[in-house]
Amino acid sequence: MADLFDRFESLRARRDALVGDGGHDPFQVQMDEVLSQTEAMINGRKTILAGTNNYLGLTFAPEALQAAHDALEAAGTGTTGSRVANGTYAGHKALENRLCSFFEKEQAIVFSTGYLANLSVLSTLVGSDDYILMDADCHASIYDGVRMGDAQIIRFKHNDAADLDKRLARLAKKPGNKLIVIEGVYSMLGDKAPLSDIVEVKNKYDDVYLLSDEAHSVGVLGRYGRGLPEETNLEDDVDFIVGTFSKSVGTVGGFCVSNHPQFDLLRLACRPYIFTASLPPSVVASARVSLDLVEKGGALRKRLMRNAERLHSGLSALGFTLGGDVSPVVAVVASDVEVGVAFWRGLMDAGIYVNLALPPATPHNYTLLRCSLCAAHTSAQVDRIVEIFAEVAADLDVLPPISKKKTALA
Amino acid sequence: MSAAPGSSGSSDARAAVLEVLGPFNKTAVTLEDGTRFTEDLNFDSLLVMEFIAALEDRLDISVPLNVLPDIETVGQLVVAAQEIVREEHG
Repeated sequence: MADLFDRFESLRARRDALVGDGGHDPFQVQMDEVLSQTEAMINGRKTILAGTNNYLGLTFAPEALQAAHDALEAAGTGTTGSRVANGTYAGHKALENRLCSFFEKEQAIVFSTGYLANLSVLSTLVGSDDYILMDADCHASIYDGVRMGDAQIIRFKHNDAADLDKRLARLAKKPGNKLIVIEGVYSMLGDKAPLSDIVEVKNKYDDVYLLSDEAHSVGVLGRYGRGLPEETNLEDDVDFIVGTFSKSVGTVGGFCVSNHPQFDLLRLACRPYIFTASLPPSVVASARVSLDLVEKGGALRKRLMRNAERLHSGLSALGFTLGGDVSPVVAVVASDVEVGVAFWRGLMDAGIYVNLALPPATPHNYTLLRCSLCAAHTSAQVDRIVEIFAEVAADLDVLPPISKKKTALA
Repeated sequence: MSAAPGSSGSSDARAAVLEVLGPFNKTAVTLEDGTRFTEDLNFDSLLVMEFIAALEDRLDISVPLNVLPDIETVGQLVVAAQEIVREEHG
């Protein structure tokens, strides 16, 4: 008789090939003790964290900790149910009001994670007569969300407004609404969407809406940290902004904001909203306070970008191939999966934690050593990361002999 | 379905599918209508996406992701592609 788990055989084989020979398992990193926003004990070694998406370093902000403690004492450890079935706490409403003022939008809904925010909105907002036009490099939560819904799903080439235009033109004579789905900053390489080009295309056609997932740009871009739409002064052109509290905001949860007057109806239509337990009071309270810190976080954003530039130029001078321009995500391209895993292990052995990103989760089938920076990283920590990258590369003999030329340019 | 095999125009779609599929075929299998993408050509989800993007370019069409789960064979893709060409350019 066939075993139920036989269908995972190829997955098992792939995992065993990657981790079978001992050493750190990239899929099961355990942080035994978190020392700060930038350091943890892993396998008995003090390790610099350079793969947390904790862009502003707010996970230990005293104001957020205090708010979480107070809410925990006042309202308990959890809500034990969904908002529709079991009731909304005052904190949820206060957080939604804060999101409205933060984004200068009229409507906001909080979800229990960023993943659920995308599942909720994308599976529900458009119906069987409608079309989704999504960037091909969108996150798994976007793919899963659109697949849960009934709309026709069309992908356009990554960051290619002309390709989007072509596809919208072919749909122009068809009835139904069209929803363009992009991300402000793409998670794997840290590259930005060409928002003004996309808005220009959007405005050429009727019945076209634009949704942008700002998971990696809230807190990072814009004077007040509202993401790419703020930075590019196009906030009125983005109909729906989806985001998360689990990156710059330093906790967990997701949201969507909009000016559409009927937006609130989604609460009665989104199954991942209706049938999920709501966020616990402590999380809700820290998210609300952290939004204040994000809003007035100009100095943090400057420090973050300074760290990003330092790491980017340091690694680039060594001759590494980097996935994109300067951004808080610095992705080093490894030549193949084996080199990537060996390199990642070398970094771990030397006390540097980054993300090992493998196909199919990566664009161009890249194997990536994906670093994400934090405003709380010191220059010394960033220099240490660069130093260890150089040492591991030398150990593995994987750097092309172009480092001298690049150094001369830098 | 209006695009039955052999009807006018379907030969263009068939030629395009075969032309684009050629370089993606890493097996010794001869491509026929009954050739199955997963079982015969060992396509995984990633390769399917790359191949469909190339076919979209070649025919200047959009293939909705929704139709992919129902397409198992080359012949089924030819029929679907023909239908989309007719809708988008007809």
